[in-house]
Amino acid sequence: MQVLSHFFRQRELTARIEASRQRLYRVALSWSHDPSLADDLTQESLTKALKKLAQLKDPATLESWLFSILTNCWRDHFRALRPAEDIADFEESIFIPEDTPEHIHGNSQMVQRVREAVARLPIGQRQVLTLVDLEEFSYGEAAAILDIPIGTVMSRLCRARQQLKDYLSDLQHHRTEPRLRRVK
Amino acid sequence: MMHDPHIPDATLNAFVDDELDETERERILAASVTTPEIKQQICEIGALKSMVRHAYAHATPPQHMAAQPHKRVRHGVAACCLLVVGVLVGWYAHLFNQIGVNTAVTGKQNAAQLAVAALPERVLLHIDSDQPEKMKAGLQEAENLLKQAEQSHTPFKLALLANKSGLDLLRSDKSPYVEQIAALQKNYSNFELLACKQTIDRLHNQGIDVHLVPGTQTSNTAIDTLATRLPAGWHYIKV
Repeated sequence: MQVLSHFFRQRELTARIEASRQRLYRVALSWSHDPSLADDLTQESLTKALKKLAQLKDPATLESWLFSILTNCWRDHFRALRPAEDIADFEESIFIPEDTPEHIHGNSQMVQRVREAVARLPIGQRQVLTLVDLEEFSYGEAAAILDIPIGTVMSRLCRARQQLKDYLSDLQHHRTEPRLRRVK
Repeated sequence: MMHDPHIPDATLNAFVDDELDETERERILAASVTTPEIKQQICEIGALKSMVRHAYAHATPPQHMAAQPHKRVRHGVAACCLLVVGVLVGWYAHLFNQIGVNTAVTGKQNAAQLAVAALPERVLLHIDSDQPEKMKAGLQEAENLLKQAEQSHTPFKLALLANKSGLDLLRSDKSPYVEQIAALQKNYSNFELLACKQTIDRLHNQGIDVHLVPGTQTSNTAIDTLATRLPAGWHYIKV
């Protein structure tokens, strides 16, 4: 019976990994703002997850385990680009890809502006913001995924939202302006 | 009752993210009633959260794994067959205290390790690098496995999957091993070549025409192939 239960467990976990593809891509896109890179990171994460599936002890932690793998793939990507840099510096750096299709085509003005604003955040803040806001991970889960203290999650999130608010204030102001004005 | 209007931003963020305990939540709620600035801050944080979520809500990967019903049925039949084979093999292995056929993903293995253990029925060899030594090693492993299966008269299938820069191995205009691949194809009908279509498309977008070794099939993405074949019992080897 162990063979049977092992088989069904593997099948179920593999299906859950496949189903997580879009979520991983969404977060990878919010970190990189480059669809090709986001797709590569997603594929790399899924490949690693499928290969290392036997190492997953608790199936309940599959989602956060997958996002930890994505985090490592993202870090590896930057290590390969800038091998001499410290990872802490990397998390405080700002990576904005130039002239990607994301910059050229936006679904709407607001979507485009928010994505641009997120892309202007330092990477460490961007990661925390998107894990909490997009994927609704708790602070504790985000801390475990990114391998940082929970206090750092809170401070980065706080700074991220403050900066985002500043970046978007023009848009919000524009949206709240009355469309008709009376001229006396 | 006076409330402290100076509540740290981090606490207000935690309130919006539902990270506070009951007592703390009540304190913030009460403060939001009496202090309009706090109420406004909470609304702003909530609005930002919604905007971020909305901005990426429809972000989808460039290519999707198609959930075709007939494909699912085939997978179901294959899974049932695999299950029966798995149970029999597992029982057999248990009886004779031997290493059974491994249908799980156990990480990187090479042909030498497989030669020591029982040879699986199906092997997926994956190459994603254009390093000459890796290409050579990949083809060497493929040849060793095919030979071993032929000599032991065991049913065996080998698929060589190439993506990223590893696609060069299967490009007739770039691969230094076209003749060796053709020889393997000629000698072994159970040898399959798979090229990642996404990599081909990417090269095409860069203005590069990709010519593949004759007989090479394309798969949507490398991950599609892994996700389909590994659960179906294929043994994975990364070159």
